[in-house]
Amino acid sequence: MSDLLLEVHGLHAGYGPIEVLHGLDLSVERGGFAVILGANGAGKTTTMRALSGMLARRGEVSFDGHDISKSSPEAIVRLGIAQVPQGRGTFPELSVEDNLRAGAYIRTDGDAIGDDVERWFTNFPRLRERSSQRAGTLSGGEQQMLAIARALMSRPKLLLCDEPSLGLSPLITQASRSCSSSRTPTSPSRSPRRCTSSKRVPSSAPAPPRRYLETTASAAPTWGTDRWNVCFKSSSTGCPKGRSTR
Amino acid sequence: MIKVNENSPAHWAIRGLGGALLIAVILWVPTMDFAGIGQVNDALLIALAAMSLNLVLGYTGQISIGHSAFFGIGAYATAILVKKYEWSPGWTFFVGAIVAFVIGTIVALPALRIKGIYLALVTLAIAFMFPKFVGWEKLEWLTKGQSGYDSVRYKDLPDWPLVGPFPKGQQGRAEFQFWLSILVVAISYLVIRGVVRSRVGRSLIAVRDNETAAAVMGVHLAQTKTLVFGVSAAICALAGSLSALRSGTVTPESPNIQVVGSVVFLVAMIIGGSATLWGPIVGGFFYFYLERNLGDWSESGPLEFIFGWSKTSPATMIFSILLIVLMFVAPFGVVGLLKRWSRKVVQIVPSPVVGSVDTKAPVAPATAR
Amino acid sequence: MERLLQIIFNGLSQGSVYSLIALGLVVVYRGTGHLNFAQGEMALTGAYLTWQFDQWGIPLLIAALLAMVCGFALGAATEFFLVRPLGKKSPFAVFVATIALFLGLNSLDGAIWGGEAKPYPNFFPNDDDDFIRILGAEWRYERLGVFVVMLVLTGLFFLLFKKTKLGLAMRAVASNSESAKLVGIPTNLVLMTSWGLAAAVGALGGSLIASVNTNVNQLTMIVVFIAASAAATLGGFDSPGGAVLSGLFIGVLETGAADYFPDWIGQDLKILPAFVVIMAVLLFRPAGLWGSSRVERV
Repeated sequence: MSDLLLEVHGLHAGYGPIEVLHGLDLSVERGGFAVILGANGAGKTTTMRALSGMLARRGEVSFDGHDISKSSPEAIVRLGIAQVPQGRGTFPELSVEDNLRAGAYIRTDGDAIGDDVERWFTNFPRLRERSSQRAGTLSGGEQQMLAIARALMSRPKLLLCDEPSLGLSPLITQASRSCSSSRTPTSPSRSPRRCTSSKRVPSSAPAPPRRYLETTASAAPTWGTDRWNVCFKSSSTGCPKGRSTR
Repeated sequence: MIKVNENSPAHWAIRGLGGALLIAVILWVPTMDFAGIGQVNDALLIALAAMSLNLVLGYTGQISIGHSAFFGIGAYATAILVKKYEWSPGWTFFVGAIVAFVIGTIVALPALRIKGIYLALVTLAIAFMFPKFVGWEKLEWLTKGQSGYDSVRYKDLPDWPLVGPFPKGQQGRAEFQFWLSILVVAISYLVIRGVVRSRVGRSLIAVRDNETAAAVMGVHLAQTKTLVFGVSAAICALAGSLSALRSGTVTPESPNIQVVGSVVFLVAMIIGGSATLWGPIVGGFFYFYLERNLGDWSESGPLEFIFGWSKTSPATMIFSILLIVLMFVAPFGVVGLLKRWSRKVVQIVPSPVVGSVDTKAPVAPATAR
Repeated sequence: MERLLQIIFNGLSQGSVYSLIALGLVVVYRGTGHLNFAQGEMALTGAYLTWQFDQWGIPLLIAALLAMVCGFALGAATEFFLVRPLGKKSPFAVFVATIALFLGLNSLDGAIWGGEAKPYPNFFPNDDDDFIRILGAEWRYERLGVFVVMLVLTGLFFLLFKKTKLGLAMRAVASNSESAKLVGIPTNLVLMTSWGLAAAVGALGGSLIASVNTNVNQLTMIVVFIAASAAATLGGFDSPGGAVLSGLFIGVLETGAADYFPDWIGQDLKILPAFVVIMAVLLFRPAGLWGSSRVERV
């Protein structure tokens, strides 16, 4: 097996006649994570949506040995990619607990789902307090917690986070990171300038190693507006040079 | 393909040709016998009702299934005033229109505040109740209950300049009814054209498919929508008044007063072309003549082969299939289709007027028909 | 008291059918945001199918179940062939398609089974002494049965919504279809199932009302559809529970109005009070009694 979990070559995607991604190359190793940085309108969200099958796209996308360039969103989730969509990706009319259960829709191991819900309630006590409340009534930060927890409910191999720190207070960002690294690794949410302090996923994590890709809100101005910077995080020593993909 | 600049002499020539054709057709109709004119008059009624529906449904996207009730209001206003209070029919048109305007506005007011489906349901309920209401025994003193009114007509036909005097008897009545219908349709056409080309009308069209935008634009727009609904109801009442004079009989059983009338107007509007000025007029004629002949056509030939098993007339079935097919291939109906084709032959290049928002190339009536 | 109770019994039975049709309307509306104008005629087709199966000698209960299966197929096919492709064009196209389906199904039923009314078999014992007496009011088995069937079916629906994975998926799609896709829910399949279930419930509702009326004809369902859509409006279009309660309420209201004011309202105008209630609700509580305003406003 290749040590690349996700490999993308020449990905084109867009909305109707407007093409946004013009041949994107991208890869994510097993064990590390990647950060996509770009200016507003650069196409970060489009990349996310193309990878999860929500948009018409062409190009080569292989994930864990499967060609997913033509797969439906449903099939892609089943292969092990979960996405935390930008903004409110929760089901506002559903209770917090039902949101989590919906996140586990593809799983068939009924009992383990209950255990996972319990685990997330332990990690985010705030969600337990509000477990029967409708998700739409949560605060923005709580909704973001819920969205991350919901995405992980499908036990993905790769988690795509679209602007995960949006609306999260530093405190919650911290909480989310600490509890997630202790139990199920997730991507730290942070702004690009502080990405140097991201911790590598500890190898002692009980769950199989997972890789995360996140987009961030805005690029450092020096990176220019029309270039993609894909940053492969390999160590805790800092963010290496962005690799331009175009 | 020929390109023609907007308002160039060539464009005016096309418009002139279209106008001349239209006038020729209008002048030709009264030369037919009264049965033929009568059919045209019936078609014009449906056309006018479809035009009024088009104003709300086609242009501003408010679903109304209540136009049969407004049609009925017009018909009953004319019948009651002429027979019970002995008015001259002409004045009753205004009364019917005003009553329909008021009722239409009231009906639309609460429903317009929120999503379109509520308007659809409220109007559906109105359409359903109207025939029962006018047939109600407590209102018998006014509406004459189930038997309704008959022989609603002018005692003496007025003598109109240019087109009169009219001969005696059925021929004269048919001719007069035709000119009256043309007059009402023409005025209504101009009113509708004025509304949809106005600034307010264009903003209504702009927010048609986007209810969020509509909400953001605020209360003012909701009021305008309500008023437009009232105008539409008033025009539909005019069609009802015309129908009272055309048939002379107004009862709760009159076909266009029942709920099914609303559906008839809808079908005519969609076949002709929603959100086009000429669509409902074309659609009214299409509907009328199709409806009239489908029964006969389906007794022989290919239609008999397909629908021969049917225990009832397959006309309605054919119309519903036609509607679905139209939605797939030509959502803007016959006129939309003609417009698309005519653009392949003659394209009107809009003149770049500074500050103008109207970039749609107006199509001459001839090409629209 | 006796009279009031009698009205409530009769109204609940009548309202049960409204509830079933309204439930179908709400399930479809929540999922796809479209009002299915053909819901009543789908139910009519179901009623005719039950009648036809019964004529062929199939036991009545099995006939009704078969009709529900056919109804499911009809609803699912409608979603697949009409609503899904046209929904990509415009909501208006879907509206026209459901109106066309309303016309088409109605005339198709007429074409197959003829215009005259068909005498309809009884689901429940219907002899003179088949009733229970509660505080002096009689609840005929036939009408009581309709109410019980509605309760059972609604209960099943709520179990489906709250306790099953399909129900969770249906609620998730109704709430946020983008996110539903992202968690791996096959949204198209779920919507097709919603339309199918709505039509299946409708088919049963149609058979029940035909049984209570003791006959079925082309016009049977139009007034039922209007009352049911009134119920859905009253309850709020995104609230299945509200639709069911409102259906019962409207049933009782119109039965009561017809009974207490026979001269002024009577059978013909019995929908009038319901209509007034709806106009008032729309004026003062536009999202309906149980609807959430977030979904309905705008």
